[in-house]
Amino acid sequence: MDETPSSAWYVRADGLWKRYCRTLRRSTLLALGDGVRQFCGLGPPRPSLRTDEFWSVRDVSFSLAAGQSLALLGRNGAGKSTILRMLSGVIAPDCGELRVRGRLVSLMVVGAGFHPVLTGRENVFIYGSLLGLSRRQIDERLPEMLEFAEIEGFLDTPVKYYSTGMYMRLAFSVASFADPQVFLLDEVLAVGDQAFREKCVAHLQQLKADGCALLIVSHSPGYVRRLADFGLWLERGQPVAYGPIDDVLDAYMARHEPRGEDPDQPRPVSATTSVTVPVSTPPPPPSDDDGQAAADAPPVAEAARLQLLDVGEAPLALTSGAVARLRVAVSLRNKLVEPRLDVSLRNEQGAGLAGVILPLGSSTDGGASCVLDFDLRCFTTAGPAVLRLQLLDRGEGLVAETSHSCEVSGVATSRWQADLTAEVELVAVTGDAAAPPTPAPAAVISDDGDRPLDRADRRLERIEAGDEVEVAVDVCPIEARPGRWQLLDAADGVVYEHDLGLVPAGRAAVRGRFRAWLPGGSYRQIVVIGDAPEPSVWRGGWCHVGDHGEPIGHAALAAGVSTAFVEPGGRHGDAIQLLSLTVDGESEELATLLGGVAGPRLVADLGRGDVPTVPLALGERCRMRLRLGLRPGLRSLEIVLGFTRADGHRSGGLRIRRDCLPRRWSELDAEIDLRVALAPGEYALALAVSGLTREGDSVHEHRAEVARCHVLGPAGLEGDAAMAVLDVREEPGGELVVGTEAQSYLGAFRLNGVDASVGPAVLAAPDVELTVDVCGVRQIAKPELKFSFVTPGLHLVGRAVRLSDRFPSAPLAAGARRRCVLRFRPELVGGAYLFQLALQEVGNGSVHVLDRRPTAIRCVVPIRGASRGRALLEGSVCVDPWQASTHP
Amino acid sequence: MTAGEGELSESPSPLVTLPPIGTTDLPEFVNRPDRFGALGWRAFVEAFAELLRGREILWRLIKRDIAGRYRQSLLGLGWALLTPLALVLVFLYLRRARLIDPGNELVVPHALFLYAGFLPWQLFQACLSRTCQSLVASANLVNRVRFPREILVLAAVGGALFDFAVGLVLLLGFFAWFGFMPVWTALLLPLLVLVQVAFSLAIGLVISIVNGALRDLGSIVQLLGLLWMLLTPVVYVAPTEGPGAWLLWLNPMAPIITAYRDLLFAGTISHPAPLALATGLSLVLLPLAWRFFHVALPRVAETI
Repeated sequence: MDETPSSAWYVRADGLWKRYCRTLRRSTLLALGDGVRQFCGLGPPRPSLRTDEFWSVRDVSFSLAAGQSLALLGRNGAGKSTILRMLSGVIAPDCGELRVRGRLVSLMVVGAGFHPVLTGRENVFIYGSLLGLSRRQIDERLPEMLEFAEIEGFLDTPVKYYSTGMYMRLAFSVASFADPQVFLLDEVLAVGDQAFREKCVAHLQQLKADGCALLIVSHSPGYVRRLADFGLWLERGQPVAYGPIDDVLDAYMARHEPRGEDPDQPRPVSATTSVTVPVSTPPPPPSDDDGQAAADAPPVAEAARLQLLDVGEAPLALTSGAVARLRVAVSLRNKLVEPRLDVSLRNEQGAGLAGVILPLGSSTDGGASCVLDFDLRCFTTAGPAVLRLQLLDRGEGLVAETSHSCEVSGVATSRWQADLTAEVELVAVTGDAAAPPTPAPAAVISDDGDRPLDRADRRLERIEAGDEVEVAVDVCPIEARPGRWQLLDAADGVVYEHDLGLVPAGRAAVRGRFRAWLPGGSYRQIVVIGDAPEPSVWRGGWCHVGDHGEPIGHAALAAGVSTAFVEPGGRHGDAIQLLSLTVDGESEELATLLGGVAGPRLVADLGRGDVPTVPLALGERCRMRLRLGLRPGLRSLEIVLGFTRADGHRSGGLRIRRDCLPRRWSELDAEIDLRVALAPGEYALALAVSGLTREGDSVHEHRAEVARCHVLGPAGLEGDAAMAVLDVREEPGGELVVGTEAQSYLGAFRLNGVDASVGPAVLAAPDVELTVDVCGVRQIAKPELKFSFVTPGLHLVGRAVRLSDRFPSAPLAAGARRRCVLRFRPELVGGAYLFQLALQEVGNGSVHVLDRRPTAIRCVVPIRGASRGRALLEGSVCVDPWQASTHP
Repeated sequence: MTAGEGELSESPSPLVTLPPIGTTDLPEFVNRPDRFGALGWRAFVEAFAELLRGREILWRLIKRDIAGRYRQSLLGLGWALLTPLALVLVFLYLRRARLIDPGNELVVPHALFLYAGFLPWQLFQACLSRTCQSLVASANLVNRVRFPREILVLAAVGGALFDFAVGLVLLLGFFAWFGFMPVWTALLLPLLVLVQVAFSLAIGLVISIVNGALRDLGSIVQLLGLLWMLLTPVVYVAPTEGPGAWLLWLNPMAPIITAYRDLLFAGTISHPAPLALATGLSLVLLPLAWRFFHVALPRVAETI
């Protein structure tokens, strides 16, 4: 859990500034002059504007991790392409710093490097080598590239006869199959036809899912929304908004959409804007030439007045993560051109914490005044800060300035990472009082590491098995992201997970209830915000579950299921009645959990209290018995069992049809053997029965929730995949209903006998044995395993190896498990690696990743001794960066 | 009603040896204003390592240039021979018409003498004009793709070398035609070519950058090339004495062109001191020019 690499980012820009010159001749002379100057060792030129120069990019900061994507928004000339060119390294910034880690591929001008006389094939090799591919790599990928580009017939035609679209197809295919880890795209999708664009988008999404960081410049909002996670809106080189793409794009569209008001029109006086600009720790702000600035700037004193309203003399109280609504009154004395209000919050060191730029319209007459409302949100450590308001005229002329001191309270969050702070409180809602006090086991007090225990570690939550528990999580993520509260067992396997839903940005208290179907013992609580590959994990205190609670199972069933039946005489009555429902399971784990009760786990009959909950284990075989009461006169009967997730998603179920001809009121026992193939979580089990009378009249279907199933996942199996189906051996006439959103699981796997969740495995012998369990949830026509070794810095070592010809690629039936044992020889040099495994499906030419293991097994390869041939099974010293240890 | 067996146990598959995997962590790329600020050995080593990684690109670009040049032309490779041949013919005519006099007694046929001078000079001239245009002609690449961009200059030199190699074959034909054997020292020619290429490359790296900013340079290079040729003993034998003769030897190309003939015909170096000077100069200029290229390119790239 703690070994998340420190360098998770792939791209990071800090306070970028770049200037350009308006006139060509001067720009060439300046460029040459700068070059000569730097050549003479005088260092880079001072970052200030010279004659005819302007800032093309000013103070732009952003960061991008693997698997994330950022879209640069803005009108033509806003500085987007300049940023991409700085990223790709062809030009240097004038101020600030850019860092890129990983293989960068930029696709900016379609067909850069293509020679018109040469054929498509020759150009592929040239372009591929420019992108860093070797001849062998290109040879290997050529079929894939061509298949993607769909231009096989024209491969040996000189590219001068290609259309622009074909150029684009070829260039895009080569670039996207060059294993980009950071992929820059500048308006290239605009060229292709609709079908190919869709294909590109799908491919880019796949690349992103594989961990590639995308940087996109596009003027098509649709593609931007589909591809990007974050947006950075630039106006004349300056960031206006930076945040989740939907927010930024909406703000951008509202401003630039043609149907909206003319952007040049003055803004309504009480406009509200809520874009937040995280401002970087600014570099020494490049200043205009002093003389020029003095000439440009109108006299500050009398031009305008700014006043922060509704705030007294006392420091303004702000909370980190919370939105503060502020109001400022602006009264102008002189006519101003494109005035705008620059609001920034800075800490004592002068570093920017948040900021908004509010345009006031194209030109404003003297004597005008307005009141602006705006929202400001910062994420920072507690402490004093200064809110600075500056009224600026076109050309950076400072018209008026005022500042107000602030006091920020709240929790520390870093700027880029959703650095998480959380408070978790467990409150037992039921059953707590009845439980005898359990002495806390020693494990609770002493942490396994030598880390000092903080306050949260000392807190001990005690609940009893079967209790209904309320979990209250107080978190402060930097942006709205999905959250989970989890209980981990001693082996860090997730035994229980509670979905907190989308946790809003800022401080948020999330509550949820669950019933603690847990074996007695001590569990670690963690709160995970965000998704792989970069979740923020907060390790909370322990939770001790006693086993003196109410036995699980044998609970009563709520409303009965009955079906209305209209008798020939016109009288209404129950045609079918559910008399009882029993579930017998095989899971020994759950049998222990139930206090040694091996009998029926759930008995439900009509007319009694609540909807019972039955614990089930993933992969468990169990037998469900239904006892139905039937009215005479029924000809056939249909029973539908459906499992529904809490969000209403139908996960799967079973339909059974039966012919029957009861002469009198009779009882029918139906037994269904099923294997639980539901993702861990809570499900509602709904029963619907309907029938036909002898006369052919239908008996109305009646549906009711008869039970809740709580599916526990085995340790090591992640609970986030949405999968569900029942593998059923049902009665004749039964029909299997498969959920639509079915996915698949990669089960636990072992390397040389070491479990993925325990690790590290030592790959001492040259051959490695990999044991994988694969659980197909829906049918996988052509399953395929792919694995790769990754260094601690998250770099792929060599290339990912597909096991298509080694993994038995026979169709995997729905719900079936397949164990696969593979032996191979990784030619690794000594060191520590992460072993990543993914389950894929090959289908009409494309490969979909069904499941991958984000937390992979750590493996340590001993440094080889002098004799290569000897297997170094004994006495090899392994260097494990996480826990330096010597393996015997 | 029996529960079906859905599990499948697979026996271990036969042992397979996977392709070797090395630990090649990609270096972190940092772009900041003083990116090439560091002077010193390390900077060169890094630049050289980057260049080595880009050798595949170099090879591809040279092939691209050659194929692109000859594929859609009628004469094809003939163009590589035409210029020196035409010049030789013109000078032979001038001599036959007694308009010029080669002066000193020649030990070899005049045509051979002329060709052995034109061939290396043509290499030098082609290097200058091609490197001068190399960055401008590939503006898209320079501006959008990150790769060691001195490769573009190197590829221009490589294209010129290819023409030179074709010309060498013709030179052998000349030897055979006149029934003349080259001296064994002709085997040392590659060393001489190396010195000349280093010198051309040093100039090429600088002018490619300057031409990126100021397009006047293309015309200037044409003009200077002609003047330079007249100041170099290409069509005449270098004078050893006379009022301004020493000045001629300050031109690094003079000893180099003379050395070609010495190695081919005489077997001795007639002017070792100027040649050593030219070699030293090339070896000093080349790293300086390379560094200038590195430092100035990010500045100039935006104006190309």
